[in-house]
Amino acid sequence: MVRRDEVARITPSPPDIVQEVGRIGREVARPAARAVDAEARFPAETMAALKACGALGGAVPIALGGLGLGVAALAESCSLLGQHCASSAMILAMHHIQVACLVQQRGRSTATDRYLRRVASEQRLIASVTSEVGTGGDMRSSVAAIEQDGARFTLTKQATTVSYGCQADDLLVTARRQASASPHDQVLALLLRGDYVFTPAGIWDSLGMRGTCSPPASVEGSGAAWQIVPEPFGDLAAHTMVPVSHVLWASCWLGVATDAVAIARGKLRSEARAGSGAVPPAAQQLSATGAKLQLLRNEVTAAADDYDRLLAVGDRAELGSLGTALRMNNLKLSASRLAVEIAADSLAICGIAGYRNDSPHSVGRQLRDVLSAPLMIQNQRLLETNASLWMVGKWEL
Amino acid sequence: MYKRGGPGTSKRDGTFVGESDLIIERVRRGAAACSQVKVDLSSLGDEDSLYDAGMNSRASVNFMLMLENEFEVEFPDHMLRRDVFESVASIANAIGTLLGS
Repeated sequence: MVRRDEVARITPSPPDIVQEVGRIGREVARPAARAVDAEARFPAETMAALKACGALGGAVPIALGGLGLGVAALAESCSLLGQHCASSAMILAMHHIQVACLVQQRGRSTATDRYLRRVASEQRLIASVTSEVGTGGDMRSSVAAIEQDGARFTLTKQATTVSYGCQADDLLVTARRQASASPHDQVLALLLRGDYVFTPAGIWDSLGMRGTCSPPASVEGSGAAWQIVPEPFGDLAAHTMVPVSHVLWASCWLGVATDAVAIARGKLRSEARAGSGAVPPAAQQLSATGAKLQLLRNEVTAAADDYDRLLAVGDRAELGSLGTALRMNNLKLSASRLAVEIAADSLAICGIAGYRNDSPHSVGRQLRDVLSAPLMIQNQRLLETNASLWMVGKWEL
Repeated sequence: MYKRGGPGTSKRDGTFVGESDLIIERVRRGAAACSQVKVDLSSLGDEDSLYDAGMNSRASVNFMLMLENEFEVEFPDHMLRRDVFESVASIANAIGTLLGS
């Protein structure tokens, strides 16, 4: 592990950092990926390497000591990492999403700016605590409430799932603004390591994404007034948390799908070589799957670019518009569907060699990891939301 | 702030009711009649957040459709935003703009 005081290092400049994350994927994440999956353990070596190159400050503005990467560059780095270890990529993505929410508060609070400086200089890892027992999976509803206690607040929450909560430095927690507030009157509260107790209430033994270490957990903590994000969570979710999540999650799935296709291609190439250069019959299936991968990549990069463009012109209203919501929901629907299809196609191309866990052409882990995609915010729920948006939208087709 | 009042008509009892008051009342009646809007507007002020009171984005869209029908207007794309449907006042303001009042 990298010690905090050793983190002051020579930081690669963007877009070098994107390539550096890719290198960490190849050289650190891939060799560990099998063990991370088998043992359902945190990819500690990969996260340490990411911290050492300053990647956790990727979304922090340059003025605050970060790398100032846009969503497109963050997406590319998640995709490159996802080609080697889906869990590592998803952890990096979730961290960036939390940072992006805080960056949106710039200019509202100098204390938040100071904290963002610490994220960059100390490479603090932030986990998200948005899920909660008793909300039926609705992120826009909370049971837990902020309780004022003199100059500080306290907060207790029972979450259904928290990714890498034990390994994170700090937590961003959704809660009702105060005890008398409605379930939807939510704020985001930052809890700093040392100020909270995080207690897993179970284990994380899942089909895939096993290294994200996402068990149910209880959180009990306190903080100073500045640690309550001033902007209402509903607005923040609409213009930052949800769209950035969709783009970065989709980038992780793109990485996994790319990995699966690379395995399938490798399998067929070795067959072709062994068969004196004859094109194996399954190569036609590979070409069809390759076309799907291209669609997926184009959809992810286009959405990331669209988001960066709106962010660049500072058009928050447009970022929070129903048109943008529909566009990002579509990204999530398409990307999760395509990524699963691509991984399943790759398995079919590899045949039994792909099905075996002990073969160099195994795509079991990739398929299991990517099967989480349609479940992270249920696709059915997004379809229902989009159905309403189609009734009212006047956008050109 | 959304200003109540404005040009309007005098009711029979002599009180003056501005056009924007009428819009606000119709918006409130619409919300009460829209089964998707599970928010009790009678306890909310004109400026209070409907989202904080529990209206989700899907319900806001259903509400929008209903208001389009009620006022015979169409919310253009640039008005299909969270902040436009934030409160009774912001909705009435948008409808007022569309009605040209």
